[in-house]
Amino acid sequence: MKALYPDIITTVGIIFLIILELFLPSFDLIGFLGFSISFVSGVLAIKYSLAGYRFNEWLLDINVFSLLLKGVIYILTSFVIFSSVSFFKSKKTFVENVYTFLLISLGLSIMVSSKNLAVILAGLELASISMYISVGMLRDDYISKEASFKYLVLGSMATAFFGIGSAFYIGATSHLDIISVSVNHNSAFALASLFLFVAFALKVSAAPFHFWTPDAYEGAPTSTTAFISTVPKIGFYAVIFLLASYIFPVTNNFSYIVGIVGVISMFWGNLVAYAQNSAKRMLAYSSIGHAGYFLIGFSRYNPLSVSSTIFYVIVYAFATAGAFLVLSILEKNQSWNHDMNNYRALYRKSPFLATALALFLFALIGIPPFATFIGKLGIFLGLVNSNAWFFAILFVIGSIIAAGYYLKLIVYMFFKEPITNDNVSLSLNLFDTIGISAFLIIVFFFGIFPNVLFDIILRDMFHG
Amino acid sequence: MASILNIAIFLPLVGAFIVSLFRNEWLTKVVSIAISGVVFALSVILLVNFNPNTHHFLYRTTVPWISSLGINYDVGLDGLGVSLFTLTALIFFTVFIWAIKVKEKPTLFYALFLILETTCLGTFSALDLFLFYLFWEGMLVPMYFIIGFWGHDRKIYAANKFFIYTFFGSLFLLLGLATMIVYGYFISGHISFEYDFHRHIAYPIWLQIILFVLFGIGFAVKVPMWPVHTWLPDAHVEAPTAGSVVLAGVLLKMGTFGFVRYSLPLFPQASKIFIPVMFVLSIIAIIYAAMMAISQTNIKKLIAYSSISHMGMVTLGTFALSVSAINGASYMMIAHGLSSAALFYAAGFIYDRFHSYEMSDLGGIAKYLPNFAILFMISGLASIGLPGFSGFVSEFLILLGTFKYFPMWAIVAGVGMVLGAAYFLYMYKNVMLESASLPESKIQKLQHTMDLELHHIISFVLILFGAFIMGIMPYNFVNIVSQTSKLILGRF
Repeated sequence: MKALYPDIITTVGIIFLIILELFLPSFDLIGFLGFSISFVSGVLAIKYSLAGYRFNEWLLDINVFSLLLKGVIYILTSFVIFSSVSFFKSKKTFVENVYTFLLISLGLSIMVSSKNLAVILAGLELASISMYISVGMLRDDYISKEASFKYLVLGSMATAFFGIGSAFYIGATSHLDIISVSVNHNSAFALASLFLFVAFALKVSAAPFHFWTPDAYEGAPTSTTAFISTVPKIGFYAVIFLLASYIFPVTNNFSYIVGIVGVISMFWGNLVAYAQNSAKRMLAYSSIGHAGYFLIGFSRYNPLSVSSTIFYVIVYAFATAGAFLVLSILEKNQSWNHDMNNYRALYRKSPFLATALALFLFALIGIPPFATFIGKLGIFLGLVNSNAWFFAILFVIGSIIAAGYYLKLIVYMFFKEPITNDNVSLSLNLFDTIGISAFLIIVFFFGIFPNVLFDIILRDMFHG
Repeated sequence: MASILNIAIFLPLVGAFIVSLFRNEWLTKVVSIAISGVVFALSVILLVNFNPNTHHFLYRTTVPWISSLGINYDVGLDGLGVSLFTLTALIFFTVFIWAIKVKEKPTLFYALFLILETTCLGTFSALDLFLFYLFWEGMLVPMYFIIGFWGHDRKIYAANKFFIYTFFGSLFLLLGLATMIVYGYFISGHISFEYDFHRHIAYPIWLQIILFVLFGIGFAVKVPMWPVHTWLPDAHVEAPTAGSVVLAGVLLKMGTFGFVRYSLPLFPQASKIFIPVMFVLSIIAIIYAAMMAISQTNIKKLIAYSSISHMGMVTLGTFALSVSAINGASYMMIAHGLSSAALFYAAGFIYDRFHSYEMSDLGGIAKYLPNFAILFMISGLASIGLPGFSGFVSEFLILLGTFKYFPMWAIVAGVGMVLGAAYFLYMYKNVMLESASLPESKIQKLQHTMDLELHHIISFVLILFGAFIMGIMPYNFVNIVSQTSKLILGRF
């Protein structure tokens, strides 16, 4: 029963915040409370995960692994709220932003705590609808509204795919739970796998289902981008992990479909990223490229590759959120539109932000001692373990291609001379510094001591 | 003694923290020089106390680190390791002294070099594959910024090219590591990144070939071998003097070190199969790079090509698979580290004084800067293998060892070494001599140019003294590396 506490705390907290906001619409207060609620839930979830609590009644199935994911989701949410309050204040958005983040994380948390398709759908929709809202939060901004609408339409398509997939799944297995079934050569089951996979490929923005991503990421307020490009990914990949454990292996050669979507996504994302002049769009394409890496990691089911992919997703989320938060801090500065030229000689204007962003970008390239490197190494180990040589080599090539565009931004920040000598000083308050440093420390720490996270992932992942 | 090794590896990193914490220019320089001096002293202690009669790794520390993946913190030195370790410490020590007058962002400059020193020292002493890769990749970021910040006109292009090429190589290396680990897991049932564990596994021949290729790509980019050498001339020309010195003196050795430490002992059968390939690539590197060097008008590019040519000799010696050839190859890593460092110092000095690397802008320097002329000449002679300097011993050993089994190849390589003398003397004549045809304005300028300063002389003398000692007492040094060579050949 204790395993439910984090979600209960969050639910009660959200209701409390909604009521409180009617009377006291203050960003500082709501932001602080939202941060605290989320942080406490996250720490509790991690604590219970380490203590080995589980809950397996009703339709839920919470084990150590899902508690870990909940912990990461809540803690990442709290970090993002912590670092984004001052951004939202400067953009004069609604205070609701804070608890829409909490609603999204609650939905994701529900999603990872069950194997039942209906519960997953409930969590998925709670998260998705809140996400559509938070993308459109800049009500005076046309691009933000357009992004929100596009996201809504394509996101609903994912829901539709999920529904059809579930229908076929019930038809083929007469179960609503994702469990091991043996239905070889069953075309209804194969269709169910395909539809469910497509639904989540849409959600994690894998090519060719990625068209909403650059627009939604660009249109959303930058702090929201930091949130929706990372936290939901943890939940979505956790479901893909479920599918990869129970559903994909059943149909012959289905893993190739997953792998090929991964390869397309990796090359598409990484190549098109070169053509971007906006740092925000570039990072959006980088997340499409990373979706490719992760799907390649999930394409073969063995303990090593799957657990490393989950590890990779978690640390990638921290690195990306950190990078987007740096962008959001820069954006508080007037006349900042994320064009590459804005980043010229950023090093001189703000050494801390430039260095932090560069480190996050190096982490995304996958260089040791950053934690993402361990993820990459783990996926290599897993792919080789499954004899998936072809995918391993493609993965190497894709990663090399990716290095170039991250370097492009680093070059602009450090080595290019500014066009105009405007010498605007960038404001950097204490919260921003603490928030960014926290992300940096996490990305470093799990690079040097990956076992802290790995051991929890491996502990219950395969018998939960 | 083991703790000395650990202290020596991580002291520069601690220094980098101190330096970036205080951001005081004067303090930075004192701390950096002091720390690198201490590291050099420690490395000399390690070298002097090294027992050349054992093939075990000495000064070993093993601490469990990431136990669920079988990764340990594991460092230790064998003969080759301790030699390269000392070379690295020496070169970094001289670099910090040389760069004492750097004006632009001095704190960052020293901090990056201190980080770089830790990663280089770590690469040569890591005995755990994960740790090795960590250090190996760790040098990428500091070096990228060193080229990018303090480089010359085309620094961005050069820095990016350096980064992408090296990253390309190391990802293949990583894939190779992953494959090796997985195979070890298949046959023993547990994941281990330990070097010794993998050295005792007999890999099937098909796997050896795959691994040799994957590792080989990683190492070849770093050496660099022909056709993946093109990043080197750009990186060298654009890098600041200190960067070029470290690049030529230390970083290139990582590739050849990788071949000797990993490729040969771990994949002996595949190495044998690949001998012709490696020979052809080495000979192309020796002859082609020497030809390219002759045709250069930019002195730094000329020295860069001469490095490629010399590194070709190292790979040739490595794959000749006789004790004296591998001894020679190991010796040449050190010898070339010293002589190329000295030559790049000379080129850097010329640039500081005359702001050009082009031969057409230079000439007649010897008459006005006699001290520099002498030291430049000595550096060049050390590089082309004059008896009495370390280069001679190494070339002799390599050619001797190669001639034993592959006489034709040895003869061709010998021709390449003759070209070495040609391009150096040609450069020296154009840059330092030829004072008769100088226009009046240039002579005026030369008369007012200062000769070597104290910090230049210290750096030059330390390096050249090392080359001299190794040239006149070769036995002691060959003795240190020869256990490594014998151990490697014991696998064939």
